[in-house]
Amino acid sequence: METILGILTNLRPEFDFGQSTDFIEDGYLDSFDLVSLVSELEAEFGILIDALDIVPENFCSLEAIAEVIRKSGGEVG
Amino acid sequence: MKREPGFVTNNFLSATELGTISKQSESELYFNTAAIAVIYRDNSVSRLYFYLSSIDSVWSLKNLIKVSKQRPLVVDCVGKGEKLEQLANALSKSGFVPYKRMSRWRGDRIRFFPELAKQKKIFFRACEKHLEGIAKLLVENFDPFVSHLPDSKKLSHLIKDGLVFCAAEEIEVQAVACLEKVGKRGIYLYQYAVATGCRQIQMGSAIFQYALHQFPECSNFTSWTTDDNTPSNRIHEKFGLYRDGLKDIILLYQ
Repeated sequence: METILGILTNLRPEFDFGQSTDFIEDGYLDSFDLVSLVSELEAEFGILIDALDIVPENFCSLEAIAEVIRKSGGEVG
Repeated sequence: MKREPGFVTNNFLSATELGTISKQSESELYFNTAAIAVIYRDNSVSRLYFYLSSIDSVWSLKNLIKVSKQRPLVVDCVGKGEKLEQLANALSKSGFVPYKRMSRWRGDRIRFFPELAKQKKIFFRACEKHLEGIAKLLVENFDPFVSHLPDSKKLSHLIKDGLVFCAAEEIEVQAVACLEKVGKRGIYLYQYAVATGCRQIQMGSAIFQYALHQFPECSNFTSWTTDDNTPSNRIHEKFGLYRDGLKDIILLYQ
């Protein structure tokens, strides 16, 4: 989770992602951020996220992101 | 193709949005082993999304799109830093012509200037009767190659959702600001414009302030401007927004 949080914080340093329960609803991430985030996650976890999984609900929280990483074959501590 | 280490794309749409585009009768899809091109009509403009196995595949992309009769093709390349510049350079060496550069602006609050609120001009939430005047003002003020202007259906939705603000005399719209909600706390400034005859009296600043201060619950504000639009860039700075480093380099293929 720390790795995911680090990537998110690096992407949008002005937000405290630990304080949000829904990154999309809170306006922390938009479509441009999602593409950057997917690219960072793929590089960091050595995975390939399926295009059909690149939907906002899969990136709205730390748990949701961890789940999509696991689904893509990655390991989240 | 996505497994290629140098994979690059200018597509920021979700699979669902791409699915919608693919159903449009004027959409075109071309591909080979090195490149995929998706061409679609966005109102009056033909836009190109591409997927390349690497930047070197730009020539392959050019060969694919030669077949299409749609011209010009507008390409938005969005990103940050050196990678974005490399992509734009590769495209321009392959016959794409650099057209405009845009920057994204962000902010967590909008400054308030009391003197602007005292302006005699009254701003209000637009209603359906202003739709035509707003559409006219947007078309007059925005370059369709650069701005993704709302069609009348989308504009109507924004008006119904209370996200369009204007100054008008009867149905003649003098200034407009169109917003979008991004989640519960985000506001995207879609477009704002002032009619030619109403400039030089700070109406741009006034409607900017008025519209963005209608959402006290919001703490994330986003906007895009072209780098050469000095008046608008000054207004963004004045209200406390800052460029966050994300760029959109727009190129045309004639």
